[in-house]
Amino acid sequence: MSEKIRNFVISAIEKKGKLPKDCDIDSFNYIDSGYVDSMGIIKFMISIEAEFNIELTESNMESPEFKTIGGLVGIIKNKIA
Amino acid sequence: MSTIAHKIFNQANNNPAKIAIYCDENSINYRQLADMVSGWSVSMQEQGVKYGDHIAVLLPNCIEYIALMLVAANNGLVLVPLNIALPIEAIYQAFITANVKHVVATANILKLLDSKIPIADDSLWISLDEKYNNAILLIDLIGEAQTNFKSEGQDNAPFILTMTSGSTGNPKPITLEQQTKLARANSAIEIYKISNIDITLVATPLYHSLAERLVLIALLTGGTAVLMPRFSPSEWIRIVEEKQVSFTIAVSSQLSQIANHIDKVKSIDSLRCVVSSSALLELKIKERLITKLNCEFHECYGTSEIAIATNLTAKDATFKLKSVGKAISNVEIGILTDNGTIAGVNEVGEIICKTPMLFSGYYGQPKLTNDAIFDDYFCTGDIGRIDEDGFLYFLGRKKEIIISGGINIYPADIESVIIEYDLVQENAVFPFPDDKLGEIVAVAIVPKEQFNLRTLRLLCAERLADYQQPRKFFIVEKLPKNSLGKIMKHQLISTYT
Repeated sequence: MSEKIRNFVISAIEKKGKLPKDCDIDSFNYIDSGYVDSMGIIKFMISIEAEFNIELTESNMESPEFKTIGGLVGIIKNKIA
Repeated sequence: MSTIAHKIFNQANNNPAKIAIYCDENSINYRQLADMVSGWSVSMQEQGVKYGDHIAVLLPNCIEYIALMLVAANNGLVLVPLNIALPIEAIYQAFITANVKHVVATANILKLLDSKIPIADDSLWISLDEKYNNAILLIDLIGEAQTNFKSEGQDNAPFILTMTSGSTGNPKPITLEQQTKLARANSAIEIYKISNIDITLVATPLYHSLAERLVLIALLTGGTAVLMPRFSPSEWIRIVEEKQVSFTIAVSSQLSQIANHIDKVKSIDSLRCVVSSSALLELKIKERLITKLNCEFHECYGTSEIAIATNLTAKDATFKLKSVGKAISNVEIGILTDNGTIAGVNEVGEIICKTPMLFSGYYGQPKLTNDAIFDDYFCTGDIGRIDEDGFLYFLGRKKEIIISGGINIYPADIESVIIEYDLVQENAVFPFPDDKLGEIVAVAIVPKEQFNLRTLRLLCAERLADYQQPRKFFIVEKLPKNSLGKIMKHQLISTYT
C-alpha cells in the first residue's frame, strides 16, 4: 500500500516537472522547492483526498511532515489505517 | 526578417560562448541557442508547419520553451502559450478560440489531449520529454540549417496570443505582434537601464506575458536570463544569490512571500533593480524588501493589453502614498468619466492609456476589441484618478475581478461551475484578502438539503484551474440583494473579510 501511495504522490508532484534525479525522495521538500506552490496546493490536496477517500485537515497541511514526500505518505497511511 | 530572431543570431556571432539562459541545472550559450533555433526552424518548415500557423505550447518553464519562441519569431508562427494547470475543457476551448493547429507539450499532457481533442491530419504534435504515439520528440527536430535555413518572420506579423479569461468564461486571446513585444522589451530596457552585464531572473510562468518580456529583455541586450521552472520564496532567494541576479520584474504577491522569508538571509548584494508589478505592495513589505535587497526599487501599473504604463520610484513612493506612479515616456494616461469626457485633476473615472505598446486586438473578436478602444486610448476597466503632479492612483476595478498571484480571475467563471452542483441553490464568488497571493477566491453558498461541501470541492478541482479554486466557503441562508434582485457583493466582502 505504501508504494501505491508513494507513486500517486510522486506523480501528482511531478505535474510541474520531474523530480531531481539525485534527490532523496522521502526527505525531499516539494513545497519549498516549488513543485507544489500556493496556487496549486488546493488541487493537489483534493486529488489526494479523492484518491484515498480521506480528509486532510488544516493542521495536517501546516505540519512539517506535510512538506516532504515521505512525511505526506505517512500522513495518508495513518488516515487510511 | 524578424528583428527578434536577427538580434539573437547576431548575439551568437558576437558572443558565442556567453551563457544566454540558465534553467535548473541546465544552461545554453548564445551559439548553442542560435543553432537550436535555426535547426528547429528548418525542421518545422520541413514537417509542414507553415508561416502564420498557430502553435500551442503547454510546457513548464524550460530552455526549449524559449527556443520555440524564437523559432516562432524566425518562421512567422503564432505561439499560443497555455497554462499547464488548465482543466482539459479549458484547453480545448483555448484551442478552438485561438485556432490552434500544432502543439508542443510534455508526453503526459499530449496523452490527456489525445483523448479529448480531435487531431487534424496536417497538425504536428511534438513531445518535450518522452515518445508518445505519433508525436515527434523535440530533440529529433534536427533540420539542415547550413543549407536550408530561411527566415520568414516579420516584425508586423502576429507573434504571440496571450490567453486571458473573459468574464463570460470564454478565453480572450490578446494578439501581440513581434514589433509590440520588441517595443515592450525596449521600453523596459530604457526605464530600468538594462545592459549586457545584467542577469535577469524570470520567476513567473512563460505563458505569462511578463515572463516572455523578461526573457526578451535579457536576450535582446546580450545579457543572461535565469529561468525558474517553479517558484517558491526560498528558491527565489537561493537562485538570486547563486546566479548573482541583477534585475527582475516580479509579481507583487511573489515579493510579499519573499519579504516573509528574507529575514533569514543577511542581505543580497547582486541585485541592482527590482520591479514589482500587478498590485501595490504594502508599505511595510516594501520597506523590508528595500532594506534587504539593497537595490533600486520600482513599482508599475499596466495590463496585458498595454504592458507597462506607469513607473513609481522608491523615492516618489515616500511622498505619493498609494500612487502607482507617472506615465512612462511615449505613454499617455487619462481618466474617462462615466459621461465619456476626460476627467479633471483628481476626478475619478476609468483609467485609459495611449501607448505604442498596445496589443493588436482580441484574436477573432473585433467587437470586443472596438469596445475596449476610446479615441486611440485603451480602456483598462480599472478605476483611478490622476493628481496635480500627474501621479496615477488605482482605486479599484470597473469589471468584477479577483487578482490572485497576479492572475485575473472572473467570478462568473467560478459561479457557473458551482451552480452545476444541483444541491447549490445560489452562490456568489468574491475576493478575500490573502498574505501570500494578494487575494484568494471566496464563495458564499445558499445550499439545498443534503448539500455536501466535499462533493462541491471535488467538482471545483475537476472543472476549474488551480488559480480558480475557491479557498473560503461561507454557507449562508440567503445572499444580500438590492431591490432589483442583484447580489450586493460589496456587502459580502464587508461581512466576511
